[in-house]
Amino acid sequence: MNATTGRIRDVAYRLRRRVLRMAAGPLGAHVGGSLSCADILATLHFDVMRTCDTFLLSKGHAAPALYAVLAEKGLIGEAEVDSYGRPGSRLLGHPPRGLPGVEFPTGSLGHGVSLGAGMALAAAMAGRDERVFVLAGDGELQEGSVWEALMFAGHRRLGGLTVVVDRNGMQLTAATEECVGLEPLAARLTAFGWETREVDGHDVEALRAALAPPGSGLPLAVIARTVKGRGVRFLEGKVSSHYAVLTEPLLRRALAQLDAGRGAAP
Amino acid sequence: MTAEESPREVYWRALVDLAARDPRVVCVDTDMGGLERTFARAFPDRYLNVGIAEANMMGVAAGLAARGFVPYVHTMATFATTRAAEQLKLDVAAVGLPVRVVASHAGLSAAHFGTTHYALEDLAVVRAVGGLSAVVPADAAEIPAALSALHALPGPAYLRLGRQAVPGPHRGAHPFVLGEAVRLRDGDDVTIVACGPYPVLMALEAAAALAAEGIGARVLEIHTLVPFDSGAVLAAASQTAGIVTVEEHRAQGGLGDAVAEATGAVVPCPVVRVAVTGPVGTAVRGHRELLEEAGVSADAVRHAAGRVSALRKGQVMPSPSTGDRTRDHVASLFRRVLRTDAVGVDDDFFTLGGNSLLAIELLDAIEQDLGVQITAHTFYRNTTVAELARSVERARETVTSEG
Repeated sequence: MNATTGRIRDVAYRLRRRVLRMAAGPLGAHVGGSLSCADILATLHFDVMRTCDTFLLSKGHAAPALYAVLAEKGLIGEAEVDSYGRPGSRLLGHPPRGLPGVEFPTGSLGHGVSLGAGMALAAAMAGRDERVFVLAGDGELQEGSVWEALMFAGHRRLGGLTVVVDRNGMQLTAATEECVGLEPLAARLTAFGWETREVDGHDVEALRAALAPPGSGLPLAVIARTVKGRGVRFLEGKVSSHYAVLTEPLLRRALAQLDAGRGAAP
Repeated sequence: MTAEESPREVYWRALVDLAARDPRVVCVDTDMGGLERTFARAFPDRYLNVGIAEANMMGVAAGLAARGFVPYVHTMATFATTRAAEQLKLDVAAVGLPVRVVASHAGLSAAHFGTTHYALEDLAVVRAVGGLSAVVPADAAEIPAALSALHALPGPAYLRLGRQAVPGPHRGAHPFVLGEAVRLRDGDDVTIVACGPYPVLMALEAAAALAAEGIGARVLEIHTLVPFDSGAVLAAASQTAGIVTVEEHRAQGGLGDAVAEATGAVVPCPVVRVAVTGPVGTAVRGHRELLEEAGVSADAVRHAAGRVSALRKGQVMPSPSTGDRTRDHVASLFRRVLRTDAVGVDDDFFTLGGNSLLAIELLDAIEQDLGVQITAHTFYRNTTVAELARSVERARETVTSEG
């Protein structure tokens, strides 16, 4: 593990701690899908992305993970993180526009890939070197508008666009493959004209490699295989982790499990 | 520009002119036909056909606008506002990006295309979503000026266009000023407020007929629904007996509601809506005929304005009866069967050129459209529009009391 990888893993650890703190607020949080994408967000925001690049959280219900990133960057304070779910807080359950770096309100699924495609197209038309990263949920791919956008970006060869699919395999009530299956996902994305890479979404080194610009000139889809609730044993791989309210004892247990798993191989 | 030139053609030219002046203009098309041989020829690098995918179109346009372009997106009014409603609401309106939604085939202008292509609730969506300026040109001549005015805005906008050429121009030398009603005719008894090509035409026709009856009807054209010219409407509310609105839209959420909202709390006055209230035709008709069948006609405007103006003379306004609607509907069936526009309420079927075969056609149409059977015996004793409408009402009451 090189220094950069270690640094990113430390960031991801802190993102998860903040997510758990938010889930321990009065209203709870979409904790499972926020924990599953923590390594992806850490890798993107603290290594891959340059200042000229753009990030869109299409799976807006992972707002706690995004707020954790904002706190890690110092764009919001730690005290504000703890305001999540409390009256008057601007940290809503889905990210509102107006927060630092939040250009569009997301949370209604199926919007991000179109928005990202428009931005990537604008960059191409203006001859600007901008990469646009969209983080989509896997359940989100059941929205038809996503496939309109995938078809469009593939057709236009929008090489500046990258969609990362947080493939934790679960949605609110069931496994995606039990609800409306997405497989063979890589083959589908490839067939839509995307360069497609599959990667362990908790392996930072592998993520860094997978997020490198594609040489093909095609838009890039990274299927990041993740575990819902990653980092907390009693949440991992459980559909019920989708939305949870952590009591004080549960929060303590969750943080202890997170600490215990720190440093383990991905 | 000729009176019968289609609004689309006028619009296409105006958009090309605009793009020549502003390099930020991008034309986003959903394979509508026309733009590929107009805009795309002039500016191939700024023409983007996203295919038949309206939701994606709206999102892509928002992304383009977020990065400095001014996208003009093109689809039919119904798809712009109901299929892509959420993208319109969240990606465009909520963020305030300068996306211009050019919504064609509005109202019933897609006539023979049928019910899937009518847009009678688009303005309600646009008004309720908020944040979009909304303009409905009354004739082709108004389109270039409207386009220039909308282009200058920093936020999103909605431009509602029809499919067919309609008679016009209506507005003479009045300049187009965004957000300002146009007074097309003076009058102090009653005000008719109209939005859109046929509604404005019908308002003017009704006002002319009312003048012959000694009633002075003011006619206001509202081309800008958002922002709304409350001042002109409030002046009408205080200076005349009341307001009749006429629009190519359902009564819910369109012009009539905008007028009622503006007047209600400030200068309460009667606001009678002439809007699409009836069933919308499911057989091939002309644009105007469809509107008339659906309840939007010059006759309906005239009746409503006559009732409202009576208030000024201290009379009690007769309730807006189903009888009036039935009379309008029967008149529209006369027009259809007799293939003439010149039908008055007291005109006799046979004087207008009807014969026994056409009478059978008429009675069939009444049964189909209005759901009542009129016997030949009844018909031959009630051959004017008004008489026959009363017969229909009586037959309905019988059905109801028996049911």
